Amino acid sequence: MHTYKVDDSLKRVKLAVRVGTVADAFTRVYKKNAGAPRYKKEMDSAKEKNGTIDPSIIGANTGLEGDRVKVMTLVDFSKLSPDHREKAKENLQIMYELSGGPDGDASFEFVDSEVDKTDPLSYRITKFFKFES
Amino acid sequence: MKTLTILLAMCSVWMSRAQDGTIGFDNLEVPNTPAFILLDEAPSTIQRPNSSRAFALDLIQDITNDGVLDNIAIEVTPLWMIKHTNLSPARLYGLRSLEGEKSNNQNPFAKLRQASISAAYVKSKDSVVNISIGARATIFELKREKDLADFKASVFRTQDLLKRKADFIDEYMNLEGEPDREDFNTEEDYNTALSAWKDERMRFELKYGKVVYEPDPFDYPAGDPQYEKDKAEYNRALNSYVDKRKEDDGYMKEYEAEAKKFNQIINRKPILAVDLAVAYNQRFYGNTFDNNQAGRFGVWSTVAASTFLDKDPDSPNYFNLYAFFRYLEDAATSGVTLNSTSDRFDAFDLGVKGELEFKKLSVGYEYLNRSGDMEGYRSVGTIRYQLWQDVYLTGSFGNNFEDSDDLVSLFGIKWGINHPFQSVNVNSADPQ
Repeated sequence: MHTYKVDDSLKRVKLAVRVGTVADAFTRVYKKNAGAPRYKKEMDSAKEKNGTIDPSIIGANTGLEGDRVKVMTLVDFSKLSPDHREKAKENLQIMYELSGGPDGDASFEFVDSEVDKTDPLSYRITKFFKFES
Repeated sequence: MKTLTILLAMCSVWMSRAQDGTIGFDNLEVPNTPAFILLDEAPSTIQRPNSSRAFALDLIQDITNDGVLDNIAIEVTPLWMIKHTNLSPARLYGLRSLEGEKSNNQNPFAKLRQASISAAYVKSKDSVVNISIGARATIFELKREKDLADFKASVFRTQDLLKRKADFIDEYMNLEGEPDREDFNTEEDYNTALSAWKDERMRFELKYGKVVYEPDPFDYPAGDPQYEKDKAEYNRALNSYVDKRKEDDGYMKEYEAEAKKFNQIINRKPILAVDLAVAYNQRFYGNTFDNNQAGRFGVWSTVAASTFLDKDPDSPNYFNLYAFFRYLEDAATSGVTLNSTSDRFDAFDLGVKGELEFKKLSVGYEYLNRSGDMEGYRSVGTIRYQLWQDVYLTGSFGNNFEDSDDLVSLFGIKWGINHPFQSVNVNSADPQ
């Protein structure tokens, strides 16, 4: 989990998710407004993008304080041979990029504890962000 | 004893395959590494590298002599060792992008990413040890439009399946919590809603197990171990729900059918492919490190054209036609003493090969003409039968360049080992 600084400007904050893998991947972004009970679906990665989401508006700086964003990426390794599968798991790369806040661009990678590896043929990676002033 | 060892080794490979039970990305044949081909130790000189294994062990052993691992090659594909931010299944297959109408514009140079490097050890009967290094790549590959379109359609269907899985997760995530008294005007309305909620939750939990809500890391103090415990409990409950939903939804049937279809598509041979390889070897005499000299250097290219033998694109039956070019420089002398005789030569090989390839069997004939300092020809018939995915029975018979001792009569087992639990203990022999 990470925090990203926002201010009271109207400048838009954008999120990008870049997935690099030879396996099939799909990403869904959720947002929870400050005080709301649960996360709501915000956007999906396009079919053509294999989990990657190009920079997309999350909201204006001024309205984001206290809001949270959750990014879930499903990676399916089942089509790969056992040899390639293990290598693809080792080499999986996901970059989360936030921009538009007073501190400018920030990028993050996932850590092992954010990966659910229960299924040997797929990963579910969940990353949380919170906007703070 | 030797036969028993070979049978045990075969069993170990078969067992590891059986335990795996998954569909491979590449139903591939075992590769002949450039380091082997340079030394004319491969059963067939003219062939395509169909494999891009992260790590492959290539052993050629025949079953007529004794000796342990006299011919062994290791091949590594760096692509599988490095993280790539821009890699995707489409890019790996050879599509620049899946976007827009012109998405079927292929990248004929995509296979360059899968260039491999290899090293080989070959010990001949006169105690000469050859150490070779090599590299190879498919530098150009042209796929059929239909194969590209089928690939794209398959990727999209898989994306739909992943989206459905995400929807199952959302269903669980969005399960309503207990009604809030503040949302109701009267106690009666609240009690009715609460009773309905409890009934529905009981039915749900009877089918899918106890509901666990997703913990949010921002609701826990930093480093609180309770978060990890709650997350593990949530993951267990969620995965159990998703598995049952997949079962109810017929998801797994579609998923397995798609994986099978995808596997068939990516294993279709391209219309045209150009491979390039380079290799060099150093020779060591009398088991002494200092007694060594440069051996062979070779650079060669194979142009392969493939056509289906029948109209079904998923049929593994092909007619393959190959053209082959090789420049070979052999700097070796016979021994390393002052009286050594020079066997140095430069040679230029030009060859063709026709091959009928069926599901498990392939039969071919190759002819190579050698010109330059040495003249001669290699005229060899080859046969290969797949025993298991990584185990092939190979045979070659014919003439191999030299004026004398030119008979190629090679019958052996070729192993491709890429599974971490596989091991081979083969007491076997020189291929010649």
